[in-house]
Amino acid sequence: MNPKRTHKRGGFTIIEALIAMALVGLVLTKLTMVVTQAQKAHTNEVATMVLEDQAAQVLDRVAFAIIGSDADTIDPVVEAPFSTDELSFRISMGVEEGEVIWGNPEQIGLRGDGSQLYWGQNVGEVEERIVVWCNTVSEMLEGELLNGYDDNGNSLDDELGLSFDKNGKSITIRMTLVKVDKEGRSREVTEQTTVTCRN
Amino acid sequence: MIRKHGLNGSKKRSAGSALVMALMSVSVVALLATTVLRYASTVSNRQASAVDRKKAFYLADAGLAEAFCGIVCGRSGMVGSEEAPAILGEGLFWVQATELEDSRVQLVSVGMVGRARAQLSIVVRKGINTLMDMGFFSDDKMIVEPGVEIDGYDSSKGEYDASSPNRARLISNKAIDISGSEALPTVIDGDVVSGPDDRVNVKGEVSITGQMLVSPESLVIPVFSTPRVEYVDSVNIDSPFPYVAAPGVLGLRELSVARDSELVLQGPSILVIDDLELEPGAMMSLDTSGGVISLYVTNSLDLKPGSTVTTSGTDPTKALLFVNQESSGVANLRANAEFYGIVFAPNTTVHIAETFEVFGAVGALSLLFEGPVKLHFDHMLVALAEKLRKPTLESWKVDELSIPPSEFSDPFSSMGLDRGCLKAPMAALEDQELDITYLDGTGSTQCYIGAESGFDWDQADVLVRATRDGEVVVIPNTDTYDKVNKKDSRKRGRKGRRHGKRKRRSH
Repeated sequence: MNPKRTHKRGGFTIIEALIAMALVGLVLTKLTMVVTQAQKAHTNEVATMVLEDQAAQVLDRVAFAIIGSDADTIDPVVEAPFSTDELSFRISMGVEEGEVIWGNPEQIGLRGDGSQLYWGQNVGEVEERIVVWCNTVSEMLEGELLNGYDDNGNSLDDELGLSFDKNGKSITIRMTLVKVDKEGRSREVTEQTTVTCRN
Repeated sequence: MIRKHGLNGSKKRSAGSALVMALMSVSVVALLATTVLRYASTVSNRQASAVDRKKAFYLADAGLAEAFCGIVCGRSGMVGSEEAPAILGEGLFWVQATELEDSRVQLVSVGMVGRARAQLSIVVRKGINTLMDMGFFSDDKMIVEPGVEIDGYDSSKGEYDASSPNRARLISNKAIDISGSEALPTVIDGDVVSGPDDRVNVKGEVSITGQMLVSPESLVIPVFSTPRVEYVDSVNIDSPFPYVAAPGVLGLRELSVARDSELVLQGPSILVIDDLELEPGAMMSLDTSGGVISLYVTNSLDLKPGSTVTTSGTDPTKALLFVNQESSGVANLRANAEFYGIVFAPNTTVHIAETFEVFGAVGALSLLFEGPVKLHFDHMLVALAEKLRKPTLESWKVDELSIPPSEFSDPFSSMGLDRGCLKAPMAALEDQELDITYLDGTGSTQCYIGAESGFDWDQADVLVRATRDGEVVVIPNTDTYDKVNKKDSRKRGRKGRRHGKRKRRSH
């Protein structure tokens, strides 16, 4: 019960307070920086993951659309080092009275400014159906330049963001998706697969 | 006391605010963590679903492959069932086979893994036995007259050449009597095979360059059906101008061509004619430059002496003459012809005159040679017949590729199946009633009738004949002619052959 002692313990000197505030400020600044960096990394990671996820899904859709086609109905027939960004094909609907029934002509390609990947049925006809599967296709495939050479070493010259090339009954599909963030940085994801036409 | 109280009260307020701040911080962090986790979980689930969907697709595809292999081996194509599917890796599949018209079968395969399900279907045309590789075949006794010349060649290597090393095949399910004379020696450049209970009888000047063999089993003549067409009318061609049957499908009750008149058949076409007659001096041209001409005669065929038949090409598979009479009948091939084609008449006695020279193959109920006939077996047909024995894929399609809503994360739980009770794909092939005749390791003929699961395929050294559920099994590389040769080789007792022994197994 010493009042003098109690008084001494009740506050801080201005120096103590300033030091404490500086330390707190420092810690908060560091903390903010760490959180911001983590947030950025997370945002980047999520954006890349979303793009990869989207690329994988779109590639699956393209592959499953083509796999049931007749290799002989695929148009145009382009073999490496050349490639095409548009493919027309027909898929089998079964057999009736001894004849194979082929579905309506389908098409997969790029449209608009070349960034939209679409699937179409009866394209150019009255009963045309167009569905855009993706709108982030890159202008050129990752690492490729429009210079007449194979810049990215995939044995194709000047392939666009979506490319098809045929080898026998197999079609190789390559695709690069690109997304530009708020800060103007672009993020690219490239996927490829080869499907064998079953008919 | 007041100060103390005040001091104590201040301490209490301070401690409370720290707790609130701490709680708020924890709440914010927890909220952030939950959001991130939820998002990560959503992405992960989506990716897992995509992977499962692919796996299900490949499982269903594997099911189709297994079923197709089964059909190649002459089985039904059924693999497991929805109640007892086949297990493969983390998933399962079953294949349902449905018989369609014209030797076709539809296979529907369902693959399931994780939550995903894929259904694929194919239509397969089963292998058919054509006998076209049998050369010149007669179900009844065959009598080969003096002066007959029978040899082989291979049109894939060029035009007919009498010095070709390819041999002919002369086969009957009964006896074969071959006779020749000094004036008219008979020459058979190839093998002669009689039926199991008969033999090849040779008399006089006869030269056979190949072997004279006895078949272990009668050949089963394949059944074929005449295409259904709409009949237009009967046509009697009696005009100096050729009558041209354009490519397409045509059905006629009667078609007769009078003297100095010409009938031109253009391929690709299918013609079904009840009665076909060529008068002496009449002409029938088969223009196969555009495609195959399949001519079905359902009642009578009479190509009279003095008439002419021509084929535009030398490919025997382009001119097919089928005689499909309901009951045993007669077909006369007495025209002047160098006929490059295939004649198949399973219910008919076919008379071939010396003027009707065949380059291809002839199969009939009975083959009667009128005079010194010349027949040339085209070996290209052996490869073609082999190809036709194999099933062919006609259509492939994706029926379903989905993630149906389910509370279970694997198909075994959702379908209430015990993983340990399910069979592997090969074992899940449908068990069928097998009726088989085969040669065992000692060359003895053996038979087995019963469930296929009870048959040890290792016992069967050479398959002679087999039916599954009453249907004749057509297996690629099961050339009866070769089987005859194999048996004969074994009888000759060549030692040290076992290292090259071929066993046919069930797949």
